[in-house]
Amino acid sequence: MNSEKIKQLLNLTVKNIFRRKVRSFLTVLSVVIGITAVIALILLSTGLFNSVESMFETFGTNTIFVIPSTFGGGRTGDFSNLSTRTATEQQLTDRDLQNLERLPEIDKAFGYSYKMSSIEFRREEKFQLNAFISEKDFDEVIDLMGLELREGTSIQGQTSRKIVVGPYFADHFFERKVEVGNRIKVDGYDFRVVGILESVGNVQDDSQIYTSLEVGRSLFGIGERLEQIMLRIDDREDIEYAKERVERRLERDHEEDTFIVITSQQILNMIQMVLNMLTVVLVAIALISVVVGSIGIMNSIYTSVLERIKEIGILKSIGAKISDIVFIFLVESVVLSLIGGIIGIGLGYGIAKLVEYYAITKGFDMFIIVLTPQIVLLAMGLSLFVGVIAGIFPSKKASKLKPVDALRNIF
Amino acid sequence: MVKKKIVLELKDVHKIYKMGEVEVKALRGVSLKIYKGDFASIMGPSGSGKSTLMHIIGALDLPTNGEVYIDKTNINNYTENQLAGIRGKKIGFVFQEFNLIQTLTALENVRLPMLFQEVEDRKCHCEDILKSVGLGERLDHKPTELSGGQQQRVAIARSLANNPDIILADEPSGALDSKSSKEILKLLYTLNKKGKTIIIITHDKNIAEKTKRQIKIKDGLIVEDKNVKIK
Ligand SMILES: Nc1ncnc2c1ncn2[C@@H]1O[C@H](COP(=O)(O)OP(=O)(O)OP(=O)(O)O)[C@@H](O)[C@H]1O
Ligand SMILES: [Mg+2]
Repeated sequence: MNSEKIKQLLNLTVKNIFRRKVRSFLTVLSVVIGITAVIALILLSTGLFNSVESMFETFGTNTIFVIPSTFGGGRTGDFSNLSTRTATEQQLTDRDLQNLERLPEIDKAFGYSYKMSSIEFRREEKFQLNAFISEKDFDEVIDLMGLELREGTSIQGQTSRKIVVGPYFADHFFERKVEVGNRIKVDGYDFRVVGILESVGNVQDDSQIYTSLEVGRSLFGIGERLEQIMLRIDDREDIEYAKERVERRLERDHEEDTFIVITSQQILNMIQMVLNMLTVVLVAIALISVVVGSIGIMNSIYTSVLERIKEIGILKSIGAKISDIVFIFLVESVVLSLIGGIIGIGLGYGIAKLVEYYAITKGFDMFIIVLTPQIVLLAMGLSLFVGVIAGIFPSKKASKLKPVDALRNIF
Repeated sequence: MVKKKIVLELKDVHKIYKMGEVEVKALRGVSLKIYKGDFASIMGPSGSGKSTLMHIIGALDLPTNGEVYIDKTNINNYTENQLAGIRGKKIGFVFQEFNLIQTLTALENVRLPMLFQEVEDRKCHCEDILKSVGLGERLDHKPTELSGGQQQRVAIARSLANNPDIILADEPSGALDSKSSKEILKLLYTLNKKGKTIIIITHDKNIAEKTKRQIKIKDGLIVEDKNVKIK
């Protein structure tokens, strides 16, 4: 085929598409819906993936978490078990912290606790989760949690009633802004705000407040109990081996099912697995709408063939070959689906960006949507594929019409 | 008399249409030689087989029985694509209902036949052809913006695009008023004078009388074939 021929046949196709504006519009729409869904879902799930990953980047993969098991009661309904246990068997305490820190694989162990506290600031009272971190490890723990100070100081090594607050707590929690140096009441006791943290991107974490574990124990009677132990592993150690050692050590003082040991890598893997499954399901649903879209195109091209039987006859009478007729209708199909694809990419990107905007206004600013050339190529490839598949059968049918029958417009 | 070159020959051509159980014998043994430079009419009543004959002469269809030669070449065993090639190169069609592509302009319509030829970028003299049929001012008009007579002239221009030997016209003035009809006939006559072989299919005696060779067909058979002098 020479370029003049391609140009003229394209011209014929484009004019035909514009002649049937409504039908062409509906056909394109059916593709737009499918491609929009695919693009939006792929963008959203990769955005989610990336935000989870960047969240974990701050943690690093050499951390082990120990938490008391909420299923600690043994088999469901078996309460007899519960009563025979002493409280310490079910709780993690400072003793566990010290025992674990003595293991050679463990670089450092941190424990913290938390409770709901009533907070009063300028006669306004609200409830907020209060995290208790040992004042001797405070800087290291908030570093491990991926937190940084925005202003003020930490409570590292400070025994008095001081408090560090998240940025959302400081800026939006109360009617008036909480600033470094302000006094607030925690469960009725006066505390002084010494530091405000940098945002981590979600409201829940950004609203937390942090006080000293030692002060918490003496003032609020939170007891020996630790809600979580974080273990930093030496970089040279094998984390899986270290995890096993931690489990062995804990089993000496606790029953096997009263605690959970999990590595940061495991958590990341779990979240990724769930996200993966979610992505597969959603993209599968989106692909179904692509299939529906291609049926729409196929239907439209069949109609186009029916409407243009006479035209096919004319073209054949002036020398058009089978391949020329196939080309004409295939091009129509591909042009329609590519237009649908381009609009779909734009719309899908727009929808994903809207979700991103919404997430950011809600404080979840790690969620970032990026349209990569690969995704654009994928979507264009998909719509091209749809166009070819949907166009091939109708155009084959058109090309097989006998010229005489086509001219008479019967078949 | 000089021996004239045969451009097309039918030998004992039969065409039978099968419609379920019923067979319609549209042509029942037609033998015919068309010579280069012929200005012929094929006339007959409705249903006599004129269009069927035209389809076979124009390689749009193959006969059920009998042989078809175009330029001494038998085309009975040609494939669909080979037949399309023959149609494109050797034959120009003019239909009663013009059969222009509605979405294309006059010039684009005339350019079409050339696109389907294998020859790479042959120079299109399409504008000149349109000028020669008196439509130099209407190049960019769509069929809907032209009168019937003008549309038929575009169709004739299109049939000339590949410079074929034979122009086949099936009731070319059937849809036209008598004035346009005369103009179209005159145009075909001029083309004949320039050397084109013209075959006009018609059931109109007035048109048939203006052609040099008059063939009459009835019930699928040629019943008369005579050469006459015309003014
Ligand atoms: N595709 C077909 N299937 C069945 N029968 C057909 C077909 N084409 C033509 N016929 C029949 O063959 C006979 C000849 O038809 P044809 O169209 O050649 O006649 P015609 O001389 O062109 O008539 P008209 O002047 O009305 O155009 C008619 O009886 C017609 O019904
Ligand atoms: Mg007829």
